[in-house]
Amino acid sequence: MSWPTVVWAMGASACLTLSAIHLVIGLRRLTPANFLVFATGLAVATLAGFELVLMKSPVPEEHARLLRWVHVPIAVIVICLVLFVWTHVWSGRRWLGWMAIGGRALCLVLNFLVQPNFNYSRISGARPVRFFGETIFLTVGTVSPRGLLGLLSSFLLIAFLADATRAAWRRRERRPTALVGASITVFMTFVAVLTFFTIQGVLTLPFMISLCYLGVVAAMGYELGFDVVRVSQLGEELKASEVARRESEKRMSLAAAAAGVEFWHFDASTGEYWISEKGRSLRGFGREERIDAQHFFDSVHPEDREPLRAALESAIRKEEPFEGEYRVVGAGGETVWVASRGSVEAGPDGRRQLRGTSADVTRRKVAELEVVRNRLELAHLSRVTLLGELSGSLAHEINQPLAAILSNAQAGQQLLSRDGGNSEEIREIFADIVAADMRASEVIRGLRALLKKGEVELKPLRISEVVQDALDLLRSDLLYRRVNVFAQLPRDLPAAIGDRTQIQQVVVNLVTNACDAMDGNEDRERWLSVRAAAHEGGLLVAVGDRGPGFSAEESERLFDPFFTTKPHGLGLGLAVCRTIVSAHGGRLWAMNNPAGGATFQFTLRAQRAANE
Amino acid sequence: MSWITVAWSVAIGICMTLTVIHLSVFTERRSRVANNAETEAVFG
Repeated sequence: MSWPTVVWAMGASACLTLSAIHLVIGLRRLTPANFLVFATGLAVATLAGFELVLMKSPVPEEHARLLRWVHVPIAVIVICLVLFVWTHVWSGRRWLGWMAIGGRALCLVLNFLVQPNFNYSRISGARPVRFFGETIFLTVGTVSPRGLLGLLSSFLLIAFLADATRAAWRRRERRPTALVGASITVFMTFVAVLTFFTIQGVLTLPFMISLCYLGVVAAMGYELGFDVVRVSQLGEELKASEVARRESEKRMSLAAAAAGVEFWHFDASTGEYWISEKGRSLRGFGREERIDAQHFFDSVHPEDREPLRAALESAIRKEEPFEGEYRVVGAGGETVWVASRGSVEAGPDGRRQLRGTSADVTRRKVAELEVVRNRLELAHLSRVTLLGELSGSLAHEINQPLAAILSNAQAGQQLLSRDGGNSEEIREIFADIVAADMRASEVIRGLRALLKKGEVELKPLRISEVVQDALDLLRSDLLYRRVNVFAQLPRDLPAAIGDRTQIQQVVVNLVTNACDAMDGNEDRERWLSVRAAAHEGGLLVAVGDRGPGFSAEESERLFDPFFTTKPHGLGLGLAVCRTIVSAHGGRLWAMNNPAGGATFQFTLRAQRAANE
Repeated sequence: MSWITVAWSVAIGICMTLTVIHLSVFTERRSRVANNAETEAVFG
């Protein structure tokens, strides 16, 4: 068996295999480095073929021809190596690379201009020698001094490779690449020295350039293969992470479904929403449907769209947590209450995103609305009851102006029937009639307001005016009961936030209770104190009496429903009052006065505090 | 030059190359048992 044939054929096939692999990878990934390894491998395999034929040929002319053509694959290898270092290692001095390419190109050109070839001035024969038990033929002839130029070109390439290796070594992340570069440099040095001494006849060996270049191709392939393996590893890690993510998503969806929660995410820069499956089915969106802001807000109840949009924008602008309740118009047209909360986060690219959860709270909301409705009903019933109790004095309050109107009208009739009437007197009579009528209208307006049954309207209101209106309504009752009113109602208090009718109801109730408490007092001991003042950023209304006050036991149950100290009372008045005040964000409490009697007072939020 | 020697040598060269490649990949990623199996298959 011919061992040289075996070794050179195996070397060539190894190069071709590596070439084929990198051609496939290069075609898939379109990376220049893989194509360069392919070209280098092909050139080395060609070179191996030339060397094998050369050592088997006894013909000097064939030696001359083959040694000429050997320079073509060598030039290809040098060019590919330089380009590989530039494109893959991203280092190496440009001018050194160009010098190496230029030197090799010059050798190639001279090779085809001179006879018989670049390395020899004359080839005289082929010398048979024994090599690994086989006879091979070595070139015999006069070596040309041009070989020194070839050696110089080889050293330029080695210098370029050494420089690139050094630069890569300095960049820590490229150290593995630097090791490969060092290997290639060693192989190239070995090739240059071995070739030079073989041509010079110092070594009695065949040309073994391809075997050394095989090491170069292997090193290049290893460098790129490492990248391919890394990419493949990353791909598998990505796949595993994707599986884990899907699993986690599934678990989250199950947990969310069990808790009745939906997830949502809003990207402020693109204006796009992502909503989990539950939320999508509620709103009638498809599983993969893209949801932009318009699309999302279309699913919100028209009355809640703008407040929700404003709340979301504010949360993103101020980078504050978002919390709110709004109505969603479901796919079937049904209205669903949704409680939503979220927080602003910076996305991977630094863009602001809002991420949160929402839950269907329709049942709670309906129950809450029912409670509000019941409270309104109760408050209204309480007002009606209260007015029923006051009906006598209210009738008197209306009767007074009616009687005044009647007597003024009769006086006018008499004046007209007697002497045609004095115009000045008639004018005064009419003025009295108008004033009395306005007074009666005022009483009726107050009654209508209290009897009105409607929604709570929280508006800014002047608390002193509200208290004064209540006192005006009760004027006859207070007079009838001979209660002296001491009112401190400054006009310059800040506006409170509340429902006028309900606050007036509270005041009427407290004043009536105070009067009831003083029913057993002597006339001079019937003092009612009504005061409005600013209090801890809000407003305070206090109603004090000179009654017997209440015991410690009673104080604990004063605001309990159906607790009363009156013989014919229902015990709902104070309970309703406390409910009303609490619904306004205030507090109602009572205390005994040091000098006797009790004071009931309540607070309300001021308009400024409510806005904040 | 014996073409039979060349052909068989080329085949051996290709197998050896693939073996070395997959062995190095296996060394790199010990979890890839498939590569090990391929190496065994090449060696028979």
